[in-house]
Amino acid sequence: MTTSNFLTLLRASLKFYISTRRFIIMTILYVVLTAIGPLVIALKIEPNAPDVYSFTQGNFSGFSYAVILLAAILAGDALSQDFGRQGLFTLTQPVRRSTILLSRYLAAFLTSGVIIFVLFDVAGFALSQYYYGQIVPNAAPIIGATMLLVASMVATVVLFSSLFKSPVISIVVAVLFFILAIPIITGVLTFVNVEPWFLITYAGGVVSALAAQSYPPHFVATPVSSGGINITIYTYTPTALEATAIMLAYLVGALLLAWFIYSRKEIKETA
Amino acid sequence: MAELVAESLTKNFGGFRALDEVSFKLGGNGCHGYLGPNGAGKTTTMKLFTSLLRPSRGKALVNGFEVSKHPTQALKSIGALIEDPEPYNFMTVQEFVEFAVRIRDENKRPDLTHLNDLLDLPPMDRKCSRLSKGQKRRVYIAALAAQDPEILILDEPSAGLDPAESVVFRNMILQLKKDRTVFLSSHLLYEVTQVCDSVLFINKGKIIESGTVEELSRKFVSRAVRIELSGPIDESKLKALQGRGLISGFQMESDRAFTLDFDGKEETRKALVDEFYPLGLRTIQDAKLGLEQAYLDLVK
Repeated sequence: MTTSNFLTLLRASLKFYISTRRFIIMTILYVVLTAIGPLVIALKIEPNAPDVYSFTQGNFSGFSYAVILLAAILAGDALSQDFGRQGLFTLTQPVRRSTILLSRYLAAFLTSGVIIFVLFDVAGFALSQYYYGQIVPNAAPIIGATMLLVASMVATVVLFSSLFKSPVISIVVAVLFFILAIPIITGVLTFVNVEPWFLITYAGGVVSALAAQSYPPHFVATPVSSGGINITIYTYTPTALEATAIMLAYLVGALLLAWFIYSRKEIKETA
Repeated sequence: MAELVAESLTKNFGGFRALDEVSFKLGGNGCHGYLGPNGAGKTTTMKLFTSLLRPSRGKALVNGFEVSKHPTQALKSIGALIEDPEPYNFMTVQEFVEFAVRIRDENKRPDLTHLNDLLDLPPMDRKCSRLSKGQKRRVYIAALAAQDPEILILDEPSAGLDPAESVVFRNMILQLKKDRTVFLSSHLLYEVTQVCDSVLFINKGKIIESGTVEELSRKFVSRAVRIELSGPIDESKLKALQGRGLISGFQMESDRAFTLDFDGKEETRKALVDEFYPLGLRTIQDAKLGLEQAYLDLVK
């Protein structure tokens, strides 16, 4: 890999992502979502959280799914775009496919990462400073965890994009897998007492856990009685180390697998 | 000197053998045509030379580099137009041409004025997504020309273009082949005759004939002549010739112009001249190009 053609590709990929309609739509959507909380408080529809910890936890609730949706929609065609007509140019250039992959990955990560960093991290901490005159002490680890989660989610989506010929199909499958399949698996695991260490969304739970005043216990079993039926709900919270390991494993594993598939892909027919 | 070598190149798609032990060696400045019917293996060959496919057996070599093992080195010498490629829709014309150059050499800048003169490009600031098919093709070729590769691989570059655009491409290929190797597949025999110096015929995955355009044209003489008379002729006269076995068929254009199919032998041609001379023979000429006849004979 030469630095110059990596940078040329990276610039082109960034330009591609930023010029897409979906980037503009997702940015507007996430700005609106970020603005809803302060608006609800300002209009006194709901009271503000009692303390900075609850506020920050609330800010990052469902954070994994916000990252998934953004990553899937922005990076879902990172590699599958090369299996169409435009790829007939890209793939016939004297550039290693690993260079193309890394430039696409980095562009998708930077694009998604900036949105998440500005709208969740910066805006969230700015608001907590405004409301409470302070931010949670774990702000730096939280920012680190959000960026690592974005990095590993984008890598996973890039892996999906190496599997499909059509960019639209790869985006749709990635969204469906993360938004439908993973919540179903997580829901089932809640009842069968299996730690979901293999799910990236589970690792993503570290972000709101870091925001808590005291880090939640790793395992909680909650008996629930309803209509004469007694069940136990098992809740796991990843430790910071465990979450980091899971996210790194997704990041490295997904990129390696994507490279393995992409570098061997033959262009028999263009999509 | 630029060189494309196929050594027993074979490609299977499942149980189907698209390319069967194809071997050839092309090089030097000039244009080498690659002719064959649909499904013959032309695009497969070109994809093997551009790393879009990997061979099942054999080697595709570009300037000595085996494409499947050293794709980056091999592709440094190649500019390729395979199937129906598109410039990047999110870039302007100028951005795409500049990108095409920078991806190979960060410090190089394309001569946009020269390219515009050569190809009559659309406005440089127009987004590629807003171009017509012909304009996109022109921009794509401009990007290839700006890269200035030693070898150009062009897979039916005129396909889907209107006649005026085809002429632009033909002229451009004539320019480009002066100082590089052009490997061109086409269905347009007229185009091949106009721009190619040598030709490879492929059918059912095998190379079946090769040579210069002149050699093949001589070898596969036309077996149809177009005749024009100064006065009208009755069809019964042509039917009579058919009855005598001098011609195998005929097509009337008007009452004084028609095409005759015959065995292609020189003595038959002379006999036809003798037949029509008393009827006011104005012109007699081959109705098919030599290459067209070769194509028809080889792929039938």
